Amino acid sequence: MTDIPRLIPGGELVAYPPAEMWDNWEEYDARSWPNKVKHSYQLVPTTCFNCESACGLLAYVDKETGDVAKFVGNPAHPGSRGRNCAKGPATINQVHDPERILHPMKRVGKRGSGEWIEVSWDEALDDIAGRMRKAIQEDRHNEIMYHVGRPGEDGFMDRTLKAWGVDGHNSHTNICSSGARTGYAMWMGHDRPSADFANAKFILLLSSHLETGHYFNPHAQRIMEGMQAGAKLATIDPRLSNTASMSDIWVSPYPGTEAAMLLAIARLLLEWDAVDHDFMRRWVDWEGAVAAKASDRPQTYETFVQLMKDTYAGYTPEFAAEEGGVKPAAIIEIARGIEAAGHRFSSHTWRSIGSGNLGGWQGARCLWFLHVLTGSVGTVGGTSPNTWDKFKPKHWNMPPPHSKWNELLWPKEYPLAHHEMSILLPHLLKEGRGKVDVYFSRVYNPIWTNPDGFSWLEVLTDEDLVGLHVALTPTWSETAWFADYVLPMGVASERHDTQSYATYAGRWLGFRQPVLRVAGEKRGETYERTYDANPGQVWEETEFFFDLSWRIDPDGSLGIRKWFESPGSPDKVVSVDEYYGWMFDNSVPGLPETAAEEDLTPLQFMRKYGAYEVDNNVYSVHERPADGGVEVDGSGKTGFPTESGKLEWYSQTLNDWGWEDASVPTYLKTHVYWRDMDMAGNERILLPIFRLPTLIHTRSGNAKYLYEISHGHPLWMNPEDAEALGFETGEMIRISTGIGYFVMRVWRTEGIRPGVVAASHHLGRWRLDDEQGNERWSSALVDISQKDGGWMLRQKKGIGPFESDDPDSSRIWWQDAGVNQNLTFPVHPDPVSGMHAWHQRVRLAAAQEGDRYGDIFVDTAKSHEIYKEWLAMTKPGPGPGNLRRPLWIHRPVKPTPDAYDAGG
Amino acid sequence: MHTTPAADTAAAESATWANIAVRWSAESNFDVWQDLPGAEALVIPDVDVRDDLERRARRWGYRLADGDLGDVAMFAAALARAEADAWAADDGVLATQAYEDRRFLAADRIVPWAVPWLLAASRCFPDLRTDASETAAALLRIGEQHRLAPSLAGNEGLRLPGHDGYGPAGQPGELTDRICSLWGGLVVFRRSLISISGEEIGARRPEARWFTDVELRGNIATWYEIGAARWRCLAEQHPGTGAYWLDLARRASETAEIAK
Repeated sequence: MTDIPRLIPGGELVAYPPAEMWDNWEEYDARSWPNKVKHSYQLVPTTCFNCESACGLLAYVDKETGDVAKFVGNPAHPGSRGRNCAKGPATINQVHDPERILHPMKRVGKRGSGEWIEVSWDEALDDIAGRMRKAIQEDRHNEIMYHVGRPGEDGFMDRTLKAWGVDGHNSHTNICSSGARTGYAMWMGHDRPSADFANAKFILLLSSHLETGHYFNPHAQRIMEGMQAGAKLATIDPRLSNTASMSDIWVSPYPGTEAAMLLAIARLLLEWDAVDHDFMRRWVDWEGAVAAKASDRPQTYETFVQLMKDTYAGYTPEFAAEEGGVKPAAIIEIARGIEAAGHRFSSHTWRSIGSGNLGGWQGARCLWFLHVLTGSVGTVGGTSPNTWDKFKPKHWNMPPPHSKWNELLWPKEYPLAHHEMSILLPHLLKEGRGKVDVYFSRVYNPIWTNPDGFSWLEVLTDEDLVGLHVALTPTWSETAWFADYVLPMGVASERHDTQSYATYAGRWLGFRQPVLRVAGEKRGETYERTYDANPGQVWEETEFFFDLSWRIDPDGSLGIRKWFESPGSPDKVVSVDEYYGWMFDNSVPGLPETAAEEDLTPLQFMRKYGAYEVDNNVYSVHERPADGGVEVDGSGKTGFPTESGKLEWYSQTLNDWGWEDASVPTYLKTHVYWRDMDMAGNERILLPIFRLPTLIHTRSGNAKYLYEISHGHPLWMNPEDAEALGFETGEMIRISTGIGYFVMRVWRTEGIRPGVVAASHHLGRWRLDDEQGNERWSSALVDISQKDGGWMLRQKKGIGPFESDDPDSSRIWWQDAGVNQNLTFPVHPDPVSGMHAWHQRVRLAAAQEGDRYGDIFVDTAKSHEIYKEWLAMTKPGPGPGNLRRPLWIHRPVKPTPDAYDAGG
Repeated sequence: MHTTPAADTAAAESATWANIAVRWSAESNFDVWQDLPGAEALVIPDVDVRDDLERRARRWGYRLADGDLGDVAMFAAALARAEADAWAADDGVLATQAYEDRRFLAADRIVPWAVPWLLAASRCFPDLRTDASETAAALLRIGEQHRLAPSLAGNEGLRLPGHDGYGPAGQPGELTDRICSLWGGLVVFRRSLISISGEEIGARRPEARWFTDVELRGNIATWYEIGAARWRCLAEQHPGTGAYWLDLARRASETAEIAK
């Protein structure tokens, strides 16, 4: 046996440059090897902008060239701890992308004609502000709309829109997470979970988000830590995701049946009495439930337990297994795992069932039910509400709420919608419910990302419906092509924002900053605006909205300017240093003291480290004493922001607003229920919502490294289905939805359950001009025409090499841009949550003669019909008290209570 | 302490490295060491890797001896063992750092030169044929497992962190320098030079008069053209380290052109 030396790690064992050396870090140039050519860098921390996790990055600013040379993880960031997924370091591609938009551009021809001229920021700001001023003066506030894709800073646009007095906040949430949010909110008011994975003993995931490392890389790290410490991981997902492949248990049910499985687990826990009765008795509003559902029985906790047992008596493992097409043993195994873990049971769901299915919001509700039963709420190794683990700083000089209500965003048919009904905007505009005079799309691409993109194209090209479209974007997109202004906004290293997300049982605040500006200021340079330091004229939203707001109200007569005046000199616009300086001085507990220990101001500290941990070991916040809080055991406690202050198994709100059948956690039949489908024929369920770990919607098309890794877009099909339908890998297939069809290629794989086919929503980028309008690293050149009463999109050219300043562009070897399948999906708004139900009933057939790869056909008249079919499922407001919407449910840019009154 | 698949994998690799270390010490390979020792600094002269190796070793409290193949392989064995121990002790941070350093060591300080040296030694030293081939195969397996340098489209594209291959591409250089360094595309032993020239020579260095001899230049060109083809084959068989071998193929072709 060879004697292998044992190593003794010493003090030098560090993976990152120590922070005290960040101002003057030297490295040898790898490409000059073997010659030793030294480069000096200024290392400036910032926050990744490629997904919402807000991981820390460290930019290497070359002192000689003044350019960013690379990005690595920021070891001082408490959430990501220096570890990033592929998308973080790929920010370097986005900075140096030869295709990027470097100057503000204004349309000069017809919308979508591709004729642009460069304009100055002054010209753009004056034009846009003038139009907004007129709308506000004429009391047309509701014609101003801000539509956000990638959120930046929590509360920043709340502040801005309140200052304008505009109820115009629109978001991407109802194509993303409204479903899961509704399920969680109905239990606890908080709309999102925060799992303590690292300390868990059993982890249950209903999605492929986490270990896949796409979103939530900080979560993935902690799941791995939990598993290293012995935790079991179970994943419920029809597709064999990276997460599923690393799990101890993978269960692959028919989509939409997951809630039945979760209720079967709940039933088992009740049957085994694996229930934390003390927690339930104290923290569940069982009194309200018994009064509403068993008024004729003794009003006791025991009655409540029996009520639950009675309610779920039919949810045997055998029933749930039959319903989901899985084995009962798998359900029992998961239930045993949860039972054994007790308080150390962590779980997560976000999209998956919640975003795929009609009634999918009940999935999150049934999952949270398991935490309530086991008392694993806010415990070590359990799951907390995310707001406990997310830090929201206060904003300087916050304006009061406005009193407007915009029915284009909050239509009366969807009074419980968790967020704005953004997917319906084209249909509401077509119905004449209003118009939009100034529409900001902010890092958002609804034509490509949303369902029914051709309806978006129709309204965005109709100047009577959308007067002025301003695209604030770091990169070209299909939607920006149809804008009037394309205004270049910075990527992770070119902008200011604060950001925080729940990643563990603690709270942190990250600071995104323009690294060239910060490095320049350290050298003694001064900058009026961030675009003076960024590449070209690339700007940031913070300063953009400060300046825009000022120009809407230059004399202060509209009452807007005062919110954007410098506190030191009111004749000037507030600066970013003043704005963030106030925030860090006044609203981040502990930061001023920590900064003072290093003889820094709080702002200097955040500029130096890029992040600050406010607290950790945050557990059981609901138990904290609170004056006026919910009374438990004779004293006031913080509790939960529900109507009762406790967790609500029974929802009076759902009952009162017409959803009696869904007032407790239950299993609702999905619109893609497999028993209703012609599975013996060629009908199947299309699962179109899964992610690739290396891409991010429309913002990674400018990252060559990421597309070199991910550039294939097949339709996943189980061999059983492939045999039955006669498909081989690589064969072209026509997939027909309710409003059209698309053509792609088949991939036979055991990684998807029979009866379900799947295609990622991360590919399928296109452009209408050979040399502009979208990234040539990632998009196909297409032609759009009208044919047979609908829209036809046909690829003229796939991805290929092109000439640019970057020699890599001539070496592109991949060709497949994928297929923009979302164009062929009608809107499916869930009548309760408002969430778009993404899954589709599709017919599969061999491609027909004349079909080409990437062909897409859509009939938007049919899509409007389907919108109306789903509209017919709603139970419109007003509800109790003549309210448009319950006051207690979260709402972005919440107006004053009187705005909730539906009036006469 | 408990066993995990990650610990088992690292422990197995530790044993592989230890075998390489034991087999390729200077003492047990007198002939080949007399010709061209198995050490990066000699296979690619003018490259000072000592400080890089020492810096990496110092962080782990490891003392390097000569920096030859046996020495750096033992360091890799120790890093793999440290990783296995750390996984077993639930210390994921330490395990990851040990893994990262071992991967870097393999990618930057061992595989790129040791595989060419071993393959050349297996051809020039019949007694070593089996051992050298088996060791090269073991290194190639490790390269596949860790994907040390995947074949990519060009010579830029994605590079592993810190990986710098054989130095800048397209350096013309003198023919003598190219022959004496792997930088030129091949490991050339003294025995190789004897074979090329048909002359008994004392030093591992071509003589200046060779380059005025058209026939001899032709022999050198052929030697390098064959070498380039071998590298291309190796790259196809081992895509996990293909970028190294494609790079060497290009360098060998350039040397052949210069020789012509």
